Amino acid sequence: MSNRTLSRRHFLQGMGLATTGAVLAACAPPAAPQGAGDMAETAETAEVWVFQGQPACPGGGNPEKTDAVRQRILDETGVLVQVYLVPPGAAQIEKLNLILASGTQPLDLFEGQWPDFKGIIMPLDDLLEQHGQNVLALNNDFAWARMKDFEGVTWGYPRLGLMGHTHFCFFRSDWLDEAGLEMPDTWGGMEETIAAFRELHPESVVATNGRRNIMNNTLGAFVEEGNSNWVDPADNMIKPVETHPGYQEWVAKMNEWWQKGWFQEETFANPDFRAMLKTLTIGSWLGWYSRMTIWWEQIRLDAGYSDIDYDFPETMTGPKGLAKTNNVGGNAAYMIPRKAEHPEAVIRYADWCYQGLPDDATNLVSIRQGIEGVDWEWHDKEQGHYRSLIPATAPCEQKYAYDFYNVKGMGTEPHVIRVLDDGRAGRQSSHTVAYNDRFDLGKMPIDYDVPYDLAAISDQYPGLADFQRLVEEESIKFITGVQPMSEWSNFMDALKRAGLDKWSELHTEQYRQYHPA
Amino acid sequence: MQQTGGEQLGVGVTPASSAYTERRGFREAWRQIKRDRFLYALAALPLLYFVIFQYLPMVGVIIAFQDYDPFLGIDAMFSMDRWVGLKHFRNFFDSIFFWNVMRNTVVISLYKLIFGFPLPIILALMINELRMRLFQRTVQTISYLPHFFSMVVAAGIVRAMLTPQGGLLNQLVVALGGEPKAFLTDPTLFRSILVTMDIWQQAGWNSIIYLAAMATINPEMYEAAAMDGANRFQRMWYVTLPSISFAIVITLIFRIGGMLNAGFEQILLLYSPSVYAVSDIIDTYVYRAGLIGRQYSFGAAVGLFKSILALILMYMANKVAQRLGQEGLW
Repeated sequence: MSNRTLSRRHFLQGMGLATTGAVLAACAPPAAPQGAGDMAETAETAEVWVFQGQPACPGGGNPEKTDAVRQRILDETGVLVQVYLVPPGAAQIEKLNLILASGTQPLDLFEGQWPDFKGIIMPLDDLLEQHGQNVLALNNDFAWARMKDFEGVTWGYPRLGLMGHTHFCFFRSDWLDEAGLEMPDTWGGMEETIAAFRELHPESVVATNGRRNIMNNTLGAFVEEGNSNWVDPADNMIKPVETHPGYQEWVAKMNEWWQKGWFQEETFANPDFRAMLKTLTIGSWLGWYSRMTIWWEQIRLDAGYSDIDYDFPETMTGPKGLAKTNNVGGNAAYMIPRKAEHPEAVIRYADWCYQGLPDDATNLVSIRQGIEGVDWEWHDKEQGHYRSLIPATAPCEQKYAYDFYNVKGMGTEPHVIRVLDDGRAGRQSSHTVAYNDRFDLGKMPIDYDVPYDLAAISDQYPGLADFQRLVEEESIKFITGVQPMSEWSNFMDALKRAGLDKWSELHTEQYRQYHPA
Repeated sequence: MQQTGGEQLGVGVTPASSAYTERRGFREAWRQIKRDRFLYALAALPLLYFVIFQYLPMVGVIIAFQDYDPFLGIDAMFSMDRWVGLKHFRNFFDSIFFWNVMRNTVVISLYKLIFGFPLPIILALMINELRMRLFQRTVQTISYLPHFFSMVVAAGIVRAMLTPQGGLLNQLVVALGGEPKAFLTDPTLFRSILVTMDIWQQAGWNSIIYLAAMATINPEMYEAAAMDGANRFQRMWYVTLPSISFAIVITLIFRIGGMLNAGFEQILLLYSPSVYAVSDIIDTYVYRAGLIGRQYSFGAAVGLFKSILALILMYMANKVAQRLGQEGLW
């Protein structure tokens, strides 16, 4: 009997301990996601946490290689860099927002559109002045203009900048040969080509990854301003491109393509593009360029296709001129949260990445490729040409995975480094070098220099997100024939009911601060 | 409420005797707690779980009435500076998608209830009637299996089956002389796909509770029914079903209470702009506005609105169950 009583007591004590432990565990902050081996923050070093926006390997690369690069940064800057790796997509945005909102995990640097985060990030003017002279010098004026608000306060350092290389109409070059056609560079030629592809290969399709990308590739053929907001001469107000008469013509044309069965049927429904590319049924790609320069190139090399490939014309023109619109890159920036513990260390780290450019790109290539002599070597240092020593096709566990590459900047990078043709990275690198600055091949959005503060607009117009959903949803319904084109005027009425006038008023107000009437 | 001895006898109770009774009641309660301390200890952990993870976070609903900025810290949550009253609720009611989102939530939930609720009962009845144990267990295992797939995997399977680029269903359509079709972008089919997938994933698992209830039925009732000349269907109808009606009612009340949970993960993984009009539900709307759009207060307001509706629905279902002579939840 007494034994049983004793065991109950022990059980109760155990339960008490377990309960206490569970409560403590539940209330403790989450564990750090990516350890730094033996390295740890000391009095001389500052630990900074970076949310890596585009991880090459979401599970991380080879830990030893990662630590080697981390050690080099630590030795030369005194900054111990830790990284959050989350696969891109909605889950990544969600994770970033939770880290920013919860405050339970450290965060010192992340990327995004800075106006979306204004209020939770810190101004960088003084920090850049004191610790970031390389960062300041190596980004051009255009890139910096996009980082500033109306008062001239700098809220981030540039992530992208203006890009001329992101949108081209790609066509199966072997099918062009088979059809005896030249690479099309007019709207009529493009339609003739797609029709010929369908004739030769009935399974061939046109594909894109989302409405915005196909608009950037083709809308300029129907709208003078391209894929851009426009100033309606009727009232001199800024309006979304979807209200432009040329947009209706473009949607009607896309619907005509859809009715002919030219489009891949799931092209506006987030399909698996890698799987789609592997089917070899895509005759024309009208989406984001890197699906071709990276994804397709990888598939081509892996499968050993020597006679199948895609190519593109430098320009495509339609009734209203150039079909392509240059990619403004928004206000994409690297930002420091207001609550960051070591903001000066973040800028020191960023500045080190830029150090030596444009003459010596060793640091930049190191954070991109790994350790010199182990993961990469110079081919022509003066020209910035290097060669990767690890094949691009190597699995993540064998290579350094860009973990500390937090100065991706299309405004600077293509001018200073170039990876030699080693497969996937070679094609991508050649493409960006050749076309990053070719703004003459597309139209420039009329408000490319206006960093709209969407958070401020959203405050005054709570229906902004609804408006954006309406535009997206209805446009795709017209293209795919779910909604007949005869109901276009109903769409315009719906936009008005959803607050088009408010949208226009608030955007015009900000636009006029940069472009007085 | 327990009556005191004085009340039972209709005798006037003096303050002194009331205090005495109260003390006695307290001592009695404490004595019972001591006596059943083993059971209370067992219940402590789950209770703590509910307090910490379900009830304490409810304090956070206060942000539905503020223009909350998470970067101002926890103190700001209890400050009146950012108080905006019902602004976010009004914004939701004014949204052009309010009725669309509400309709989708209710319609998808109703479809799932109408088609998804009876099927586990039918499945359980059929499994219960199987006489070959091996076959019965095989059927049970196969029907439970999809429940254990994560929603991402299940949605991946559905996508792979339905894609026009070589999906199994489209291959069948082509073999029968039809044209491949993008089922997931067709607004007329999308809800049916959701309901079918839900039944495929959950019917087997949900049948367990009914099978367990059937296991408690006294076999003599079946014997008596058989002696009265009831055939198998009649025994099912007149013995099995009435005997498990309590389980059916309780699960129905729970289903109605959770009716506004129309399947957030499932829809998020399968929908696209082509089918927003028939698939955007309260939860996907909250996800876009709250987590993706960082409008935390707005998201909290919409979420709170949904919870209040769910509470009302559950209360009504419980009342109806009681009126129909069933026990109900409380």
